Amino acid sequence: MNTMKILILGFNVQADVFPLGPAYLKTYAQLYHPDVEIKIKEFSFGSRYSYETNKNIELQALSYILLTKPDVVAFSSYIWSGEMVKDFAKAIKQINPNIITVIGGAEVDNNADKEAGVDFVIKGEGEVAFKELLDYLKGERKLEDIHNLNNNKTISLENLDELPFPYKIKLKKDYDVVRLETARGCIFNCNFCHYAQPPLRYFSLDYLKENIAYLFKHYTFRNLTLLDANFNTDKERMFKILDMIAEYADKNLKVHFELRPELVDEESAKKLSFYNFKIVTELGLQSTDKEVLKTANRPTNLNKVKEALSLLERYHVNYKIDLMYGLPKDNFFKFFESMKFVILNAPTQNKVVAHHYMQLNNTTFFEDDLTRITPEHSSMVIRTDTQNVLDLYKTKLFIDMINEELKLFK
Amino acid sequence: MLQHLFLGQSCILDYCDLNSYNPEKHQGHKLRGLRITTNNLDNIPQDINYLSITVNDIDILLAKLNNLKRNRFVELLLPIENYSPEILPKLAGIKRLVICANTTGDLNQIFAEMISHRFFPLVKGRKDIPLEFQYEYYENPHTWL
Repeated sequence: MNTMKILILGFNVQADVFPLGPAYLKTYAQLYHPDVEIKIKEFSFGSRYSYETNKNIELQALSYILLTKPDVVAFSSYIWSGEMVKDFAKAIKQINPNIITVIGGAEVDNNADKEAGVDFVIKGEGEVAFKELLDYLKGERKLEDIHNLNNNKTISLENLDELPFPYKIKLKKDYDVVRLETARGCIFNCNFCHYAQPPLRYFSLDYLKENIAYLFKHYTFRNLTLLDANFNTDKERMFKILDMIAEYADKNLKVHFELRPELVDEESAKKLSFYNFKIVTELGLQSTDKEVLKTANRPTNLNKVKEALSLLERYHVNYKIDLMYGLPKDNFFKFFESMKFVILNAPTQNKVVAHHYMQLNNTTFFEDDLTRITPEHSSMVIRTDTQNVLDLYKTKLFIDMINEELKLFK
Repeated sequence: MLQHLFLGQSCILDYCDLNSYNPEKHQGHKLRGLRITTNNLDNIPQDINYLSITVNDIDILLAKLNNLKRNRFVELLLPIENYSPEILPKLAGIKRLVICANTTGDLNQIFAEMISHRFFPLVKGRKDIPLEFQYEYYENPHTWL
């Protein structure tokens, strides 16, 4: 075989975001396979409407494949792309049946993706699996020895510092948003989420210190999103990382991260207010109803949430607190109570931020008797144990109406 | 609805009290509301930001709606006799539509039409429909406590 040519495609909603996942795959694989040519190409859906008649993104990507003639095309299936990637995989085979297709991502579905004609389906973390797949394609490994592939044995990297810093690849250097992983996994295990499926691991502070310096030296960006499901689980570590960022950040930079509200205390709220960059914190509440939270396996202390919001308010720390409607056991009136809680306890938040529950593949709730709008892939629920589609849509309309009225007060 | 959560910040007048409206006195109130009918749609003070309009005459409403809804939250209380699905597209920009229906009868068709125009279905005067669609439920301060 001549030099193997691999194309990793990213399909995104938001343009101008550094392609973190593909960059991890490429940098890790090239540690072991420097002779393989790996390219990353991103396509953005933007505000595409009418999926049935507008396939411009697919046409662009297929034309790109036709011109660049890769041996392997790899891409991910996420909630926003799950529907199109199956069609896309079939289309690749139609333009050239010899191209090997690989699909990965948090929401891959082994059976459905195989049915779509995808040659290899990678579940779970992709770096090791992708590297091992290249071993196989070069004849250096047996198919059954590729971790995370199809139904083979699973693996997660024990030491995240083994991953090369993904920003050390040759791509453009100016982005609206860059994302920095500081951890993988989650200490909680909510039934609607798959964040906790790999074990909880952290990048070392030394790794982050060195690479945060690299990021600021080589890139310009307006938003930095820190990827850790509960950044304040270890407050000392959180502030060490924020201090590293503060060394390089200016006042226009927005740094986004997720906090577990119950772990916010006065000292940390106060400290967060002192940084020289803008902080945008996100707090996931989802519901205030005990039964809903219990069913979702999400223990929540509402008094502590109230206290956290009050502290963030007092120290002027920018926050957004989210709800979710359509979870199992939820109903209109339970959601109404959750909404009142947010309106009353989050006075500077000028709207109720509420998301329609999406049933994701590979989560505990995926096993439940819920109905989603597109059964074949992760998508919005349209029937739960307690609500039907009208209940869900009326909740959305109610939220919209209340948010219009809230503009008069906030 | 939300005035029950933000009591100190709200002031809603009836049209008959409009003469006593003093913009300076009401400046502290974020919500400065007025309850009126379509017979009295002229000369509404500019700083009124919430209008609850009882629709006696749909033609008068439609003739004046564009000016009325600018920078305001407008709620319409529309008697079911004045309702027809054809008016819904003309009510774009209205934030809340309440059907006033003292008569019995199936409301599903009206609800379906309202939902398809992105209105949360609300009905005043009917106790036999699910609570979440009863306007009176939200008018009750206890609902918000």
